[in-house]
Amino acid sequence: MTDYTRSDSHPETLAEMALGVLDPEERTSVLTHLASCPACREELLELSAVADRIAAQAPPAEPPAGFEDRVLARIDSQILGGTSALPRNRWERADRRTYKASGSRRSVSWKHLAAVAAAAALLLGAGAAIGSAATGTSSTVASDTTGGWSASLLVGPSGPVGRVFFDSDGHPWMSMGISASQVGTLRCELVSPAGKVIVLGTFQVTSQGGYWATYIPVSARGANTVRLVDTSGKMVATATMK
Amino acid sequence: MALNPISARVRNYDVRQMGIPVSSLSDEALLAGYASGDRELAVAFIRRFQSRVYGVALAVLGDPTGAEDVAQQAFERAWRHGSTYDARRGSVGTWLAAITRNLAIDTTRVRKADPIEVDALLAALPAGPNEPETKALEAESSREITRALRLLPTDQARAIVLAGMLGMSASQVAAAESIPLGTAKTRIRTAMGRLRSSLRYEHLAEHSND
Ligand SMILES: [Zn+2]
Repeated sequence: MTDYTRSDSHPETLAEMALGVLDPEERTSVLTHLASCPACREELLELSAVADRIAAQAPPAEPPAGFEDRVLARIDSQILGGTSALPRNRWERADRRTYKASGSRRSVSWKHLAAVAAAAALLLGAGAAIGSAATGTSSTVASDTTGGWSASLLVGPSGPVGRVFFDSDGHPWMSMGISASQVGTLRCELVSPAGKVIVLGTFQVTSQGGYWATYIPVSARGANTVRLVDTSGKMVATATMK
Repeated sequence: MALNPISARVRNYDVRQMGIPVSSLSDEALLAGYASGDRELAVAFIRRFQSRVYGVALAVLGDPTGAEDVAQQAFERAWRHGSTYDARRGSVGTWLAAITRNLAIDTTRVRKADPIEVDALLAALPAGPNEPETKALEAESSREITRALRLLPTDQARAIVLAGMLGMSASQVAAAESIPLGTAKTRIRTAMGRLRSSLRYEHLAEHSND
């Protein structure tokens, strides 16, 4: 189709490639060439930097009102594993509650973030909620009596490894963030005071930590302990629900 | 989901501990805060960049509803991939613009040509982004590229606006400009080569002033 099908020539479409306007067929052809041509890879990098700067010159335009809320809601739905049945406005709700509890947005968001970072409770949607959690040795670290929301530390053999958030509003659910110290597949169980065990599911913890959210089934009401168990059956962390 | 290194949060935290208001945080610090899930910083991040992101999407799609959806997707992608942002390769604004452009182009291949719009975009070029938050470095980068664009022959500049801002393929540029496909491809290629050279030259000139 074009002259770069000859092995001794370089594609003349690198500029279009950089601008992102090549059709898939041509793109594939260029990519095939790039795989074996460092010179063209280098040139594409430079052209892409130019192309990106051109794109950034588009005239700014204000999006319709409420745009930021819709972006936040969209991210919320992603945090919750794309499970559309889960509440979509988690972020907002957690925020509102913490405002109620402390009255100061600034102190809520930042006061305890260092502790949170250390715990690697990477709950994006609960960022503000994390911030409201008091540090301390108690396993239940925060709660909001008006909203049925609470947070607990996940404690492993050598100390805290993450946090669990419970929300008993409406359809109860919980979410948890755990540090990268527990890489692998973890099974989450709820245990009742009488010792009844309900397996809620499994999730992956990568070298960047792990995050998981789930509804709490009716059969698990009354359970007060969360247990995380690895594939060998060893318990790696527990948390106590308030 | 993508989780970001804890170091990014801790760094952010340190910045805020020093009592620096959100409005004066750097684009990079705001991005780190946004990607790590701080709500206050997320709101500040979106507000700082929303008109630029939406502007890029609107330029490519030409339709407010589609543009809003793409702009939302772009912010979602920025959140997901915030940790992959590399300041050495360009400003946060440029990175976001590239994300948005790519999403918008993937969304539609049927963009109607509007010659009046192209003229308007070309005329608007020298201004560039000038929001109060825009950092000096980025303003300088913006001046460089607009200056380089204005030095191009008009037919090449038009081809670059059509392809680079409106996201048109070479064949769409050819149709919009009533020129053969080969001519459109040549204009795009030649213009991009010139832009690259003049930006390189600017960088050399800058360093020789040091
Ligand atoms: Zn090559």
